[in-house]
Amino acid sequence: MKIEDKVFDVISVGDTTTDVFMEVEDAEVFCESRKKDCLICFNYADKIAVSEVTEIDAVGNAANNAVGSSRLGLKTGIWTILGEDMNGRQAFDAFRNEKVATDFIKTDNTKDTNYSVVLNFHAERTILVYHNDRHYILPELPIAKWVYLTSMGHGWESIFGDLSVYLKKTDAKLAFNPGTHQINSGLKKLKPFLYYTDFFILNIEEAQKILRTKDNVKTLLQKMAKLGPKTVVITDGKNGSYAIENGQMWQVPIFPDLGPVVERTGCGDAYATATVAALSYGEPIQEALKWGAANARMVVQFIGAQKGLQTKAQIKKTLQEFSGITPKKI
Amino acid sequence: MSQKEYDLISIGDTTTDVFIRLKDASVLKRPKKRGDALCMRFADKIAVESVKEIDGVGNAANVAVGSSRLGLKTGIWTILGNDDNAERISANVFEKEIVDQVCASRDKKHRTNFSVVLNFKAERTILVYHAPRVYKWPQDLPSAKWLYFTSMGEGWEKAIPGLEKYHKKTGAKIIFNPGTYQLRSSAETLRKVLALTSVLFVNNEEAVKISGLKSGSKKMLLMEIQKFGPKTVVITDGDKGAFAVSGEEFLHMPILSAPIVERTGCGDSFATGFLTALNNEQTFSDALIWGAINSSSVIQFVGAREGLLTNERMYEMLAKISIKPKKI
Repeated sequence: MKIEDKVFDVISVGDTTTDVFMEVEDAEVFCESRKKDCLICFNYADKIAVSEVTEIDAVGNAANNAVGSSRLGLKTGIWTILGEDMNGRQAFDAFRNEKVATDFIKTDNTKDTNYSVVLNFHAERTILVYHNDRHYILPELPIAKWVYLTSMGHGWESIFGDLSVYLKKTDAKLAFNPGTHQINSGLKKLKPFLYYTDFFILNIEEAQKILRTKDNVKTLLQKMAKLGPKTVVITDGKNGSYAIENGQMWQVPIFPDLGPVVERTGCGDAYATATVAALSYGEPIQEALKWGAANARMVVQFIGAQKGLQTKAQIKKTLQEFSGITPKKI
Repeated sequence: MSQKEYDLISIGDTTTDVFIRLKDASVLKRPKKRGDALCMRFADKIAVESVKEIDGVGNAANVAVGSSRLGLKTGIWTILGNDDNAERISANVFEKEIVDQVCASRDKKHRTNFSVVLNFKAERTILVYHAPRVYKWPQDLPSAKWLYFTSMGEGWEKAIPGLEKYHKKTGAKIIFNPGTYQLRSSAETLRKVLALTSVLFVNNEEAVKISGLKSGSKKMLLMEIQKFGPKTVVITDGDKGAFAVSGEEFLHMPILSAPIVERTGCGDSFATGFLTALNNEQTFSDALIWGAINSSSVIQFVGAREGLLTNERMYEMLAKISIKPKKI
């Protein structure tokens, strides 16, 4: 089958990185005042013992969404940029193994694959991030039910023209889960994308940052919805998640932890991914949010963003187990 | 001497190094002689200037790759882990560099050793993961003219009886370049290895520790260490160059000037050049020149491997160098 003939359920759009997780022991944390403005410090010019290392290729918000969508049984592709290095090649293989179509992946032969070192100390993550500057040009993409747009670096907004033409032409829906750089680029740059967005998902701090307010979650949902997205979901850690759709607002609590949380990376991605997958399977928003909670619950039980990502059957089983957890109208 | 299967077999741990250049960090003074601290914002995302991941390094691997490039028939006995780094090291480093993995060992329970080197201002702060290993001497280790014994993790002493037997049985000459864990062992343990050693490579600090001397000239250090066994001792002392003894000949070799990019692998490349020259029946004095040339090339690149010279390049460089070691 040629690429053009394929119809995808989801095409993920965003950057891919290699993550190295390190459990650090010999460090100290100094804080200016009451756990605020803290520094992590090591003996300078010394060797610092690390008790555990895990290197994971093909991660990052877009990659996590692609792998997660594929596990949930969706026909998935990814548009991302990899370096022409060992980590790039391994990411390519990792996508293939997860049955994510690699046809639209671009290889940047002038720069390396993005790379992060995640230092775990006192259950908090300090992340050393290496983001290559990329030249983003959206390629011709096949027809898809959903495009899932997420974290990209400097210059990300240049895909707007091509993306909006594609959405109009193919009637694909746009899910948007903004990354750090996209959030920091400000409401003005986000607005055109939000106008085209069907499903917008972010956490409460991110929503407050974009709107430059300390509003409560209900007000945030209403303000965000006015900017264009048909559905807005705001996640709020232990308080669960909140949604607005057609003026109706919902709240879904989190599912009980399976055990002590091991590592939180990818929690938000797992949530967003399963929610969009549920929508693509025709579930209503209040049901889709439970899919998200069920997926996120498992991801935090493992190091790295992808190990705990669930299949559709696993999600259904969890939903059955917690059938008592129901969405509330708010 | 009967024909040996290898010119050199290198023994020690192999690691993957990630070199990171930080910009958003600070060095803070700490009270009470606690030394400086490298500090970054806690629980935040910190952009770094550059990242470079290099598989298949560590003292044993660096010397093996370097010797192979200089034309020696080289093997390595090292323990790799159960991960992608191990595959990459095996195929993309050892096979590619024509280093035979004799008695190849894979630790099914633990990953490959891994370090993150944080470069900030002039110094390196290194986050080190050393997997717990079981160092069981391989019974079928092939014969070699030279056995290069270097950095291993905790429990390395378990390899000493095997080393003693192998030395006795095959007559291989032992070259010793102790790593951090080996230097932490008791003097008694270290002396067991030194007694077997023909050539010892150490830096100045390590030489002082091994000698047990509180003070004294380089010559005194060299003489004191010779008493433990090695006839040939090389002390590398950063910018001051190398101080060495072979039998009764004491020499000083200054460093060769080169633009410094990154120092990792400087000592390994010196040892590699030196012992290859000895293998090729060069004089002690010339061997020091080979060492200095190889080092001056390695420090011009990030990581320990990239600058290691081939035989051809070594001879090109030798033709250009007029600096010679001086008697001390």
